Amino acid sequence: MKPQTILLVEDSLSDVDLTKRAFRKGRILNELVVAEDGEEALDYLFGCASGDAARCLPALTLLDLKLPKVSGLEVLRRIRADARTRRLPVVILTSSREEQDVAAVYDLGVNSYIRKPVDFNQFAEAIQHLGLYWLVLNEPPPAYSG
Amino acid sequence: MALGVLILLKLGNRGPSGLGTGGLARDVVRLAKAVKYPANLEQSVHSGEKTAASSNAPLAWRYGVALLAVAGAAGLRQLISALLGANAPLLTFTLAVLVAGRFGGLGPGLLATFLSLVSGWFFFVHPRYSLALSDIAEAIRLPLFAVVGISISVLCGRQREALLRVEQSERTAAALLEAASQAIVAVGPDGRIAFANATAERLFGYARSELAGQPVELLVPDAIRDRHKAGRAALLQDPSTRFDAGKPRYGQRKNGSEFLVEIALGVVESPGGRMHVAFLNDITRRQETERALRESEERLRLLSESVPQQLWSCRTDGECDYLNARAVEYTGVPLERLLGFGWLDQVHPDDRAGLIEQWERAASAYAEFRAEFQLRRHDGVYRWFQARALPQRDASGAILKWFGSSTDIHEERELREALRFQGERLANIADAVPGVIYSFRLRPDGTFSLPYASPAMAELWGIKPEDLVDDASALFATTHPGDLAHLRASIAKSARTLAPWRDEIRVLHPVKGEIWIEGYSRPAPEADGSIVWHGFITDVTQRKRAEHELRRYQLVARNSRDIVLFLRLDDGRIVEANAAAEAAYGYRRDELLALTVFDLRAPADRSSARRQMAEADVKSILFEALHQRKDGSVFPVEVSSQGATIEGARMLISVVRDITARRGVEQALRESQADLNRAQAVAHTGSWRLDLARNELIWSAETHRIFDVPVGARLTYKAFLSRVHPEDRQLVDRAWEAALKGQPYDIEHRIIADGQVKWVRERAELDLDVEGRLVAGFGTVQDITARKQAEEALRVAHLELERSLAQLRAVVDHLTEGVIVCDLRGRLLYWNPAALAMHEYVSLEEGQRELAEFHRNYELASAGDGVLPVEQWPLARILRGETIRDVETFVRRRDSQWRRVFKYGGTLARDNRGNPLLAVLSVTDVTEAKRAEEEILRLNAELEQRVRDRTAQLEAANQELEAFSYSVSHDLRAPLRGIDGWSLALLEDYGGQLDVRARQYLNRVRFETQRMGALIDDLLQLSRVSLSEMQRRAVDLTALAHAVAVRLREDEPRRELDFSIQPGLTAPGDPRLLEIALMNLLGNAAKFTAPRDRARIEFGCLEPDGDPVFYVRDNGVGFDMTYAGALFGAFQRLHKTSEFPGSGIGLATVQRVIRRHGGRLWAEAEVDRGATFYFTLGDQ
Repeated sequence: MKPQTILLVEDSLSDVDLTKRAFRKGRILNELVVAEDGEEALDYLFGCASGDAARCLPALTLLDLKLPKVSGLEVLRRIRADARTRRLPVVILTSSREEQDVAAVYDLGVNSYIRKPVDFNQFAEAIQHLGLYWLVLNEPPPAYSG
Repeated sequence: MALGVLILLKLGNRGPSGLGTGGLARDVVRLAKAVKYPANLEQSVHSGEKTAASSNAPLAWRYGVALLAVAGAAGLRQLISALLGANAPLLTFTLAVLVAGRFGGLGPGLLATFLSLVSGWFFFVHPRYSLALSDIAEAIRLPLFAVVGISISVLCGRQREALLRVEQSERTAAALLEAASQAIVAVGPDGRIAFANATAERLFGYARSELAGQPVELLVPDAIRDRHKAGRAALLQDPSTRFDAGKPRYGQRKNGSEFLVEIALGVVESPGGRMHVAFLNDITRRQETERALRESEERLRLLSESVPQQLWSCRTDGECDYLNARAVEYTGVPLERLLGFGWLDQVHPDDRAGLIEQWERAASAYAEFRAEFQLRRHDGVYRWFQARALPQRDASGAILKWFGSSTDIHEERELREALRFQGERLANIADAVPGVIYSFRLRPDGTFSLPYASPAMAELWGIKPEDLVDDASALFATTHPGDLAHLRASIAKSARTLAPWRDEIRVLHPVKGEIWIEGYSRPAPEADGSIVWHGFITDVTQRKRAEHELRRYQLVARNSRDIVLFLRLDDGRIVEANAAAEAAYGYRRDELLALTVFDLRAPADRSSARRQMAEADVKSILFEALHQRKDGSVFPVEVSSQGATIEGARMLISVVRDITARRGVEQALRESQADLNRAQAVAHTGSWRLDLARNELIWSAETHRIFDVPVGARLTYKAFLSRVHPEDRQLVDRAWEAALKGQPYDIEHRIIADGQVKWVRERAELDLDVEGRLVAGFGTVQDITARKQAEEALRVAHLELERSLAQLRAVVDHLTEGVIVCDLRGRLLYWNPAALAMHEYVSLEEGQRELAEFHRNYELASAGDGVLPVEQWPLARILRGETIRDVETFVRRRDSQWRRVFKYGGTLARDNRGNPLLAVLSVTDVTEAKRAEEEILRLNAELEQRVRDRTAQLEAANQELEAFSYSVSHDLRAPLRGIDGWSLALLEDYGGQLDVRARQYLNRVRFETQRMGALIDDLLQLSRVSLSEMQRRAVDLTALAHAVAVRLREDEPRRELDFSIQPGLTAPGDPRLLEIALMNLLGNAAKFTAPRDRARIEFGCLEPDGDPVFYVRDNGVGFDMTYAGALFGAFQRLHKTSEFPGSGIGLATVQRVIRRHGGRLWAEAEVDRGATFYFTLGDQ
């Protein structure tokens, strides 16, 4: 079985590198696709969706909320609004812990919400747990076939 | 008639022939009358009288003779005056008077006497030529002469009159004889003709001069002359003998021809001897006539035998002497038996009496006899005959015989009878029909006639039918003008179309007035272009009236709210009923019409119905009865019933009224009457009656009681007055005197009765006659002592009241609140000084106005409703019964700038029975207070506006702060994570290349970085506590504390943390904020107890004043209370960071949370003795 893709939507390149480092430290070797703003993320997702979905749709999407162009909240709404992407596991990975944000993303059917801690050890630990959970333990949703 | 000849044998002294007249003529006339030749002689006498009258001398001539005689006598006296001298002066005049009297009669004699007297006196009495008298002898002479002259005149006048009468008589007789139609010849005793009249001359052809003195045999044929002479001689001897009696006698004319005469003879004794007078008629022609008659009779007989009628002649008494053969043939009875009275046997016995009566009537009236009777035919059948007869009369007019005929009219009569019968039948029919049968003709020229109308026309139309036969215009003249055009049009239409004519018109009847006539007829054109209508008219006035009446009745009945029933009189059947009847009885109209009035009567009340109906037929009656509805229920009614003829039938019209309600009223009235009687008894009202005609004064028992006068005591005015209180006697006496003059008597006064003073009210009605005398009187006496006492008590109470009112007024006058009192009609009775002052009035009078006037001058407005209509004014609301309180009103005078704000209150003042008496209005001038209040309100409004502005600014700031803290939480943390992450990456990847010191530095970078992160988190929390929305609900603080305790133990698992949490603590508040507060407080407690082996942390609640005070107590290091003031500031720390790490933001956050809950936070602590933090959470 082909290793599953992880989509990381993050505008901060420092964070992207730290996240890659955390994956590496956690020995999660799945392909990591980075989108630096919401628009890019949507292009990727719906590009996959219209093409060979099974091959390029990510097994997990890590989504920051504060993004240039299209906000993370809007990206999540589009993902959940489209039948092809509706079942994708999406985890919010953000610095904010604002309650209104937490409530809004859960309302849109997010799968998980993780605040990035300042302490990198804690952050790496969280990433490691995350990968283990979503990519190994979790039974993925069936692929869209309609 | 026969020619007559009269011969008069006496010679007269006048006449050309010398044949006498005078006395002879008179005798002859008498004779002639005796032998019955009346008619001719009467004529003659008449003409004779004329002759005699004309022979008298003319008047002038007679008086002329008197003048001449006097003149002659005067002349003669003059001639002989020489002889006589003055003696016998009037001698010759006597002669003149005699001559004048003899010739001229009385008048001329008297004239002569007078003239002689005057002329003799003048000319011949001494002194002559004068009318003077010389001596007494002369004076006697003159009257003596006058007497003699008058006597002579009278005597001569009488004589002359007698002579004239004789002469006239004789002349009359002579003329009579002359004019007689018979020839009259008178023969003297010597057989010679003494007189012959003119007719005799004509008959015999001799002139009278030739006959005079000739023997009468000259006029007799030669052959019988001797026999005539002998007969005459015998007659002369014995007047009763007649010669040749019964034989025809002949006369001989001068020409020798003979002729038959009829002679009547008479004897006249005259001075010259006995004379025969013969009255002769030439009967030659009569003889010829008789022969012709006989021939004619024969012809007549032949004729009569051949005519189909029966002919007959009978004597006046009915004895028939002739019957023609027809009679014999018809009757089959031999002629002999029919003649005489035998014919009568053949007349039907029923007709005999009538026939005889007719006969006698005709005979006595000398009129034509006409009779119809039945005569028996030979076969025994009686047939009708008509007999007609004319009388034959003799010369005197007496009926000699009746000549008649009898004609068989049997068929004709039967026909006539049949016709008559039919005519009668028609007439009967015409009479019997209720109207007039008529024929009406329209002639081609457009005129009308009524050829026939039955006699009832006179009654119906008031015009006799015979007056309309030729001209019917009277019909139109009497037609009602309003119907005339209509009538003419209907006739014209019928004439044009020949359709039957039918019309109804009004006719102005001379007697009956306006009547209605209905006519129907069929037109038929006639050959001459006329149109004749046969038909009938009838008087329909009754029907019309009945129709009108019925319509009126029906109209009335239909709209009547009373029940109206039309009943047939004979059986009581209901023939009409109105809607009210349906409603009242519960029957439908068709059901009602199948019932009789008896069905409507209640069974108990039916017996009188028949009698009442009979009564109502005669006159309108009103009675009460019980009627029954369809459902059997009975109700009382009043019935007005009256008979009427409607469309020919006798009806009763009954108007029925349900008097159930009235019965109730009557019952109530009776009860009320009884109550009244009782009331009168209770009212102590006595009465008295004065009847002067009977000289009676009667007191009722109550009056006796009031005056304490025993019943039976003598009642007089004086006795009454003695009971009156002495002080009131004059008043009573004056009032009574006034009453006697017609004033009303109604007074109240005191009396002393039974030793007590009582008050009475006396009233009286006195009847006075036209002259003002008292006739009768009636009065009442009411014992009003109790009332008077009550009045007195009331008066005292009133005084008391007035006094207390005065007190009250004094109070009201000094009130600072205005008081206005108004009566129920809106008159402002009272203003207290404060009220006047508020309205800027000076005096009470100025303020005492009508409310209406007040309305004109002031305008009231309320804050909510704007300008108030008058009925919403406070006083108006009070007058309507409303009680008002604190009604704030803007008051404005319309005529000035005066403006106030008044607060009104008030209510209706009522008496103790609750009846309203007055309206009381209180007024407070709140203008100033209002102004102040408005100012406050205005300031408040300003303040609120400012708060609103600030709040908005604050909200904007809050939002900015929120965005800021969001950025802080997100964006500030990201670099920190980078610093920490890359520091760690440096240590991990290049740690081997660094020395210990470098690695220490990198660890320090990481430590500071993480402290920075915590600091940011605490700041965020602080800001969140300040900014987040408060949600209040009951929060379980015990559970919250336990949860925090669990987390604290997990954070420091190596420490022994001893939490003591009071169970059951709840408080209203925001659970999230309270969790932050407890987290900080308990977290602080855990932190500052770190040096202790056993950390004791307590959470509980105190209630010193009933309000809960929560606390968190620890056995930690505590602090110096000197620095407690800085305890709750942000970033304030009382311990070294190295001892106890922390941001210094925790207690500031707790302070914020508690303040937001409206509570208070304070601390008590001692160094090393632990610390206690108290907080309250406010009420809400």
